[in-house]
Amino acid sequence: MILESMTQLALEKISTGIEKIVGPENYSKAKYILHSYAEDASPFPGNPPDFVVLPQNTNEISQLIQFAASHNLSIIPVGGRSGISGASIPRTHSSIMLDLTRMNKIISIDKEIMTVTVQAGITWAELIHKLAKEDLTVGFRGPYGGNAGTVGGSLSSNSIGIGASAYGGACDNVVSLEVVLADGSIIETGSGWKKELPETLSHFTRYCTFNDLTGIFLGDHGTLGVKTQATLKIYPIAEGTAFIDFGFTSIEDCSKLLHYLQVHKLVTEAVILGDTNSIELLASTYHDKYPQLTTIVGIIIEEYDQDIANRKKEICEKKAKQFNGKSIGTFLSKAHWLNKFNLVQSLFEEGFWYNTCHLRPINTLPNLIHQTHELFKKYDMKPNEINWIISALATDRCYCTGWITLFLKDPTKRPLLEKIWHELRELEISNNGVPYWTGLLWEDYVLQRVNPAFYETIQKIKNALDPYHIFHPGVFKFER
Amino acid sequence: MDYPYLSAFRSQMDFCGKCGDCALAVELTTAKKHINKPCVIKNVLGFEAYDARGRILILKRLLDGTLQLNQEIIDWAYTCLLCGNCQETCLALDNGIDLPSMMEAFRRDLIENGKYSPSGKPFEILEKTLTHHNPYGEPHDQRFHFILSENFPPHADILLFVGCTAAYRQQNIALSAYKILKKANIDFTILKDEKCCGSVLLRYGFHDKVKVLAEELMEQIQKSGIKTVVFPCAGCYRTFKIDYPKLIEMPKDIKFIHFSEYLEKLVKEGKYHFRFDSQTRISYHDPCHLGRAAGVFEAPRFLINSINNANLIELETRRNYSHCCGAGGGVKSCFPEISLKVGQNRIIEAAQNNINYLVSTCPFCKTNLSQSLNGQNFKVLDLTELLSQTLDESLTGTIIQKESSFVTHELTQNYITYLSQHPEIFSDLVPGSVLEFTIYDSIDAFEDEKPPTGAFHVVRLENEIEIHPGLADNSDLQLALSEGAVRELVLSKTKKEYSLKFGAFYNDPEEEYWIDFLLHKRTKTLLKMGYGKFAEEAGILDEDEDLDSLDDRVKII
Ligand SMILES: Cc1cc2nc3c(=O)[nH]c(=O)nc-3n(C[C@H](O)[C@H](O)[C@H](O)COP(=O)(O)OP(=O)(O)OC[C@H]3O[C@@H](n4cnc5c(N)ncnc54)[C@H](O)[C@@H]3O)c2cc1C
Ligand code: SF4
Ligand code: SF4
Repeated sequence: MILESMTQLALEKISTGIEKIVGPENYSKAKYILHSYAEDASPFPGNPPDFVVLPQNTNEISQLIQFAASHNLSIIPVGGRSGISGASIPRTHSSIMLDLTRMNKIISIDKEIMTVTVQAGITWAELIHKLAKEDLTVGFRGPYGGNAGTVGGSLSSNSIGIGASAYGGACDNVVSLEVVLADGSIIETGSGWKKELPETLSHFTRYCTFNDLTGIFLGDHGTLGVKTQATLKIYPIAEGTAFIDFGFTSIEDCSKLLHYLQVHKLVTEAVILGDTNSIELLASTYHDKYPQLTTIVGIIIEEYDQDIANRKKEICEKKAKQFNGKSIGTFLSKAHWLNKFNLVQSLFEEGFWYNTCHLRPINTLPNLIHQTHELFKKYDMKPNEINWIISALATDRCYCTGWITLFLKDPTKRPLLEKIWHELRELEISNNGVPYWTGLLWEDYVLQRVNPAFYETIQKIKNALDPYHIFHPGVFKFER
Repeated sequence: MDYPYLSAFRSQMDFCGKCGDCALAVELTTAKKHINKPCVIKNVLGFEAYDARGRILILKRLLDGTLQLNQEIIDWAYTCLLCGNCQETCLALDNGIDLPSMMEAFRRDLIENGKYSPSGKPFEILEKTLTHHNPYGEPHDQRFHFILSENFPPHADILLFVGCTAAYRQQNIALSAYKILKKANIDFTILKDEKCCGSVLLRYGFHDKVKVLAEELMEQIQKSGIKTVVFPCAGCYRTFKIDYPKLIEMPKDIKFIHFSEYLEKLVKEGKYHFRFDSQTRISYHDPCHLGRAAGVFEAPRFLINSINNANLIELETRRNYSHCCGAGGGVKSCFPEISLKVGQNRIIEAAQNNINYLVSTCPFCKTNLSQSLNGQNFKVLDLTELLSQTLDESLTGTIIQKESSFVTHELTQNYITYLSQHPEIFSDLVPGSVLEFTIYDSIDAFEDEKPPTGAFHVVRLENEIEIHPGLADNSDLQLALSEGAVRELVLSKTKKEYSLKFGAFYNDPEEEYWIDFLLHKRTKTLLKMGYGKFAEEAGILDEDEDLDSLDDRVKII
């Protein structure tokens, strides 16, 4: 915190400036408050910002950015700080962290166009709950951490999660964004480009007229601007649902089924528990009854009509049988779907979590799992009290997430765990994997491999949009 | 400075996965958990430092020296209500990360190191309690001046433990409790020399001092030959029931119950009849000490439902996930303005229900909520006050309870009988498990959270099961069944047939025949308690057969 070395007078001047914009109750420079913002949900050591601000609206954010620019301060926009890649941790000194969780309103629900426009700080849980009151829902329902994960955070970090098998990740569901840029100006993307436009028509399509400006800001990890609003696609709540779990003795067979389901767009969600250890950890009932199973896939089908859901389920059953799958019940799929954002947390009792979340083609999953098991064998995981879970979620078309997470019970084993963690990430990224969020978790692995022409291009975009690197400096190691 | 008490929690802190649920979780429609941003202090003050995730981070950083103790942090220690809503929401461990105990331990470290909060409140209240035997510093000999005209017997079966707040600040609660007991000619007394139970001191971190108070009080109570101590104050009740056993050895032959639990029994015996003259809308605020801490949720609801013309309208956050009123954990005395803001938010929540009364079962909640009313046109009352107001003097004898339909519902009775003949169904559950059965006339009724047509709960004891009519206070899991499903289940000749039907109704529900679950504990905890095996035995896992036989099974319906 370089501000410590500032004169009291300079510090007071900055405080007064911020206070003028947001009022005395909505900012803080108290040390204990800053320290409570030092970390996200990853294991990376944190770094407190120098100020925390709770902005209430886009206008305040615009003013704060202009103020920061004129005082050489940086801006770090954050949502629920539930990210698990270290993406929201300040990398440099003299930063103002914008905690956007108070900007959590639904601005409008457009039932004609079937979109919802929200403030970026709304959590997925709150959005889904409020939409449900109108018998509506979003396609992508949020990351598993959607109790605290915000729409803005997810769109800034390419989140993948609930509903992704049918609807793709968070970014696939965006129609338009409102973004505050480095000079404080405010833009709306997609069909919001007109100077003046009737309210109802401003956000109905993402692709029109110019190139896709929305996409530039998606996944930017807070480096190009502050997303203050987002317009997302909405759908009526499905009338029909069907659940079914299939057990397999081979991950190859299970992957074939997953591939088939995705090619034919049969399911809303297909989630895999990828080895016996994972089945024991999350679905011990199945493990006790069918110890021979090495993979389970839980399938959720949501349809406009129950008969359609039932019919799709029958097709899944038939196909699963062809791939040597066995119908074993509905426990996993129901627990998964009904518990929504409350599933992962029960694994915390295994110790602190070290994830390696990434994306990969479905057909590369079996090989990854075999290689991971080789790695785990090498390091005697269980005697070292390091547990793990391997799971995967079919995404969009025929790719999936690779969710391999390690759990550290005994802090003295941290050096060993970090070694395994590192090797696992090397393995994943070298074998067809790409991270969706980057952050401290993946940055070094990614930057070693990035095509220079690609990196140069995004670097140019950064320098054009944020020439003084006000936004989240240090992320992606961009240079001015 | 060392933190011996806080350090004891260091390893538990590592189980916090920093997910943020304890601050930001919102009700999930599917899970029917009535949560809405559980940390009411964070909701008012806004910053992360005030919710459990932020607090744990600060405490960790104090322990490892990254952050140094200063006056701001000492103040901050007293901004937590210790309400436990964060812990209840937290799914990291079976019982959640115990942030309230961490904050209490931290306060204890501060107190024992002579670190004063600037308002000096904790020490001021200690002084008053030790000198005057109440935290308000009121004269001890005036404690019961409003009630002592009555000559209480020196010995009785029942002791009414009034508590300092009801004695000095909310006397109408004490008088109402007195009037209600008198009405049924209960043989009860009070401790004429009743002293503060030390609830507030405990929350401040003065554990050693409270141990002495506890010993004195228990000696006094034992001397009076009391069999049951009844508390109109949720705070005193929690202190006796939950905190004292951690400090002193408690007598096994004395029962400690809240006034609402005691009254529930008397009402069921037909000792009272309550009525409003016209339809009246009431919401119930669960006090943290009575609900989350002591697990009493049903008795107050039963009592409100027993009042003729009363309509209980549940608050948005309720039962385990009820928002705190804002008065607890010493916050009211250290930061009264914060308490009021929290109270005002709770009042706004209640106002959505368009009610006549907001009712609680704790004098402290009543005080803060009524001070936070802000012109709303409903009244805040304690349940004892409401009951004493609605006590129908003209009627005694057996009465018909609205809720008694749970007991008389024929199908429910049949199912209870069936299950009582097949206790082996519950053999895999660990002793202490509580499984609630609710029966609905339609899936919509279940999904819209309408009252079930029948309800009972099964308690697994060491060597037997007990089946109780009505809803449970704190069940592990709620099983919801359609009437059609129950009708079919009770016809089962063998356990195999029962399981096949049960599995089919759960896995392949139809409009008339369906079974569903609501989990009140984390899935992992339930599995540890034997519910996985229970589910397997009940037939919700598919049998080791090929897929075609599933179709046959569905036909059993
Ligand atoms: C239990 C649990 C389960 C999880 N499961 C998943 C999962 O299934 N899938 C998944 O993808 N993630 C998962 N996560 C991680 C996390 O929840 C998501 O990535 C989520 O999208 C992060 O949102 P947030 O609001 O917490 O973002 P933050 O962590 O606050 O921020 C993430 C990044 O976005 C930037 N940012 C935030 N808001 C804005 C804004 N308005 N404008 C510009 N930049 C912004 C930040 O600077 C940072 O770089 C999980 C986390 C937990 C705790
Ligand atoms: S205390 Fe529990 S709910 Fe809160 S952040 Fe930690 S793990 Fe999550
Ligand atoms: S105990 Fe209550 S006030 Fe304290 S952190 Fe938890 S939820 Fe917030």
